[in-house]
Amino acid sequence: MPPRVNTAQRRLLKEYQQLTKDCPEGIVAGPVSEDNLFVWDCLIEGPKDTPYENGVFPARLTFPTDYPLSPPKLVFTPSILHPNIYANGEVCISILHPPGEDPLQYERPEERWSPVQNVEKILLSVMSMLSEPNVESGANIDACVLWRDNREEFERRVRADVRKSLGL
Amino acid sequence: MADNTTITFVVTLVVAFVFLRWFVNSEESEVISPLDQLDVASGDTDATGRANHDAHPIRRAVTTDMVEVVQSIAPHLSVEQIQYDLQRTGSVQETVERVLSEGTLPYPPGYTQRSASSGATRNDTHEANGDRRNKVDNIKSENLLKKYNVDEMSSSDSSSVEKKTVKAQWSDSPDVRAKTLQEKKAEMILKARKRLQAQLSNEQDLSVLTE
Repeated sequence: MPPRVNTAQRRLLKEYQQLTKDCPEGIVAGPVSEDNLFVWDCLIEGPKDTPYENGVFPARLTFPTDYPLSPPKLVFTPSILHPNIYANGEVCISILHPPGEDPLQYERPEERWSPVQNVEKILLSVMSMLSEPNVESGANIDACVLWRDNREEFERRVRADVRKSLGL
Repeated sequence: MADNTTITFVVTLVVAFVFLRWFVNSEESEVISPLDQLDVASGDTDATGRANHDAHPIRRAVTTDMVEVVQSIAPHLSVEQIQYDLQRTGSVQETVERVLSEGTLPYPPGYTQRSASSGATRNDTHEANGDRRNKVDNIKSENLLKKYNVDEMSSSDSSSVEKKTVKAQWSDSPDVRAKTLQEKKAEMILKARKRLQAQLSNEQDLSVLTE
């Protein structure tokens, strides 16, 4: 096995261990199966006082073999209605962008991925993204437009999805 | 003769203009042509390729960097659409503003829309099949209780949930670890469900009161 993959696996196992021992409120994360540490299944709780409140959102983290040099990919399964989440569930936030300068000079390099980040920080960023959508760098244009022009309808749809997902 | 020199002068001007025009155009297309190669390798070339993108913001020549910048904002648009609009505006800012206000850009005349699948093979995953993934109506919620095999009935027995609060410890056995993880997930889903249930019945009570 190439040494890089080994490094990634060791690091992932360590993060798994840390998250099991001491997990921040509202987050559960771990590998789908320990046979393959590169695919994780996560649950993220919707933050309070947002339309996502009371919701639990499953997401899949896929790590590259050169993790932690490159960032993992986070996909909500199923997708959720949010300006920064593509309709296929892919999440667009700065912490998941590869290191380096932002072409639009919008994100500072320290906001982007670097090996000092980890799964916990990603999931916490995603939670804060849920409470504060960033329409300036939107991913789902339709959701951005809805959020901006018809907030009531946007929140109604999000709440309806949350209820349906919990079988109520 | 005065006439002759005038004609010669005009002809020279025209020839020079045509020549220059041709020269500039060929240079422009040379810049664009390596686009396909760049797309494939864009992951590695980002930092170097994009650093100098704002060096020539006003010229109407379209560079790969400009296209990439627009595409990073609007990954659902094809390179051809972006190029076409950039050629018109000559400015990344104007094109981006148009994308943001209209959501899309017109196709160049005579351009047939590529199918999403062929786009996916050519582009990096991030830029791929954007047309499909931006549709709000495609978002469907899924029943979490079914997805995670959570027993709905156990939520009615509130005491058992409270007692079962999963201990945060790292077991040596992968099986136990997997089980703990599954329990934590079930617990989170059940708790969320209970909170929502409480909230919904509250809202119902309120609406009854206000009637």
